[in-house]
Amino acid sequence: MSINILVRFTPARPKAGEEVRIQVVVQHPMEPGTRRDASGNLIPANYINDVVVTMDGQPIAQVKPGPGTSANPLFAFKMKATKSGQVKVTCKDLNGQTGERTADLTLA
Amino acid sequence: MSRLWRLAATALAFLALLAFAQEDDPYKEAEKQKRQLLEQSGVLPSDLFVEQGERLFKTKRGPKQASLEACDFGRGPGKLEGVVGRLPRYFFDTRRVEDLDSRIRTCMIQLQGFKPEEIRRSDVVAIAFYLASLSNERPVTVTPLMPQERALYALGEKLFYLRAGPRDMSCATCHVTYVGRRAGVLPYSDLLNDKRVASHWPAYRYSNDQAWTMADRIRACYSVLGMPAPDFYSEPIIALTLFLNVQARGGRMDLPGFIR
Amino acid sequence: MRKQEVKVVDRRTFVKASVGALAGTLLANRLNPALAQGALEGEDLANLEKGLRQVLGKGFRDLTVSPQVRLVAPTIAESGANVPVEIEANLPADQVKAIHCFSDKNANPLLFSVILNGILPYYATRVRVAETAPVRAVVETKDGRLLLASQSVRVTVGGCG
Repeated sequence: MSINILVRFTPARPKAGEEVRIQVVVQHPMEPGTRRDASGNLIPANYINDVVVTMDGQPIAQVKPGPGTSANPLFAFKMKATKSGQVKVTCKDLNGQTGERTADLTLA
Repeated sequence: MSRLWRLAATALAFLALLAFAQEDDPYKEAEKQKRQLLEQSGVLPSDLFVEQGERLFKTKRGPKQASLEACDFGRGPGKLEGVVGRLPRYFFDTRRVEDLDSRIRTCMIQLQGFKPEEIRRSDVVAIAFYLASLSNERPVTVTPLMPQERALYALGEKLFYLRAGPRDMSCATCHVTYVGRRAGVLPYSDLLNDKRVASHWPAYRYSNDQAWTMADRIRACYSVLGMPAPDFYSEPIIALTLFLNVQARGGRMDLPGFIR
Repeated sequence: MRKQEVKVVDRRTFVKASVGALAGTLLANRLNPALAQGALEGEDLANLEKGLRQVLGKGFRDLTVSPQVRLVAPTIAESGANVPVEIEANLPADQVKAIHCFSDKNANPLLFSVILNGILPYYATRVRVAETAPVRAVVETKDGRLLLASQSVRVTVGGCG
């Protein structure tokens, strides 16, 4: 089962040269490995430890989150909108599960 | 003249202390956390559940390989805008008063052919989030008119005030007697008068990263009361939900909620 | 003549009252250590040093406090599980190599690292803060400087479960 990712641009259709935020939220419990379940057993760590963002194939950001990042995490970036293109976000967690989402950035 | 200067200096001292005191007002600071969460996110975890719910709603699933698009939530099959504000209500096909969760479950059984034990709670919650997103900014209009609705409303009211369990407490103990007092940083919400409270369910709770419906909230309250929680889709849950939603009648829903 | 006397009394009264006001301000400052210069609320430099060494190979004294790094976080978080953090560097995009974030009292003080490639030096996310402690943004520049901005976050319910 792949990891769900949502990508949003703010503003949705930026003008050329305008600052645009790329906001990504990922569905993941981000288990830190320090929590215990109802019986008192440690819940094994399972969190996203790698997120890569590319624009038309070129890497623009790489995040290394850890147990200190909240569940269903937000990853938000800012860039100058110079041209339309496709943003792709891929992520991987400790168990090897992956997720991928693409979103087209269109200039106004 | 000298009195004026003294007054000015005293005022200055007060202002200085006031400025420092205001920095620490926990209510204002707690609001700042929520505001920052909403402003800089652009996309919230609740949006994940809405998207997941939409997929589950529209995909053909179950032994009957059908989607839930023909489900009647109170406005007729396929009409979904604003339905959350009209639930719980009596449904003729099941001859029961049903809330959002149990109506989703009914349709999964009737339309898709799932057996009751096959229904996953997480699927019901996701679908509830999707339907909630279609009721955002709509008014709560729940009005018990059918005799079954009125009977269940009376039950809900009775349960709300019923002191029971090892702590001899009721819902009203916190939400009426101690309303406004603090549990942590936030005060006990005024369920009977504040129309925003009941109407922000289903919601994403960012204090424990859980997607909850009203049923989850009521069950959690029962554990605070020291009593075993009523089952999902059971009569006490629907009764309390009906009672609480009627108190919010007239309020504008903020859905899906994003709360502590 | 009378006017002269009244003026002297006025000034003295004012000076006395102002000193009182200043003393009051300083006292308030001491009572609220987060506002005073120096130690931040919940500081734990030993634990932080461990995290810095592990991630950056440098120590706390290699960090330079810089007003060019802007860290936005709430001062009180009623839920430590979802503390919004926004970091922005007032530097040209091609000078910033990475942004790191630490919290002194987390078991693992590193909250995250971000490597940016050509986009604006900005990052926002939600982090878990275990207990009241400073959250620290460290901006790593291409010429090897480590710029620091810190802010204490008071946590009422810890974020690590």
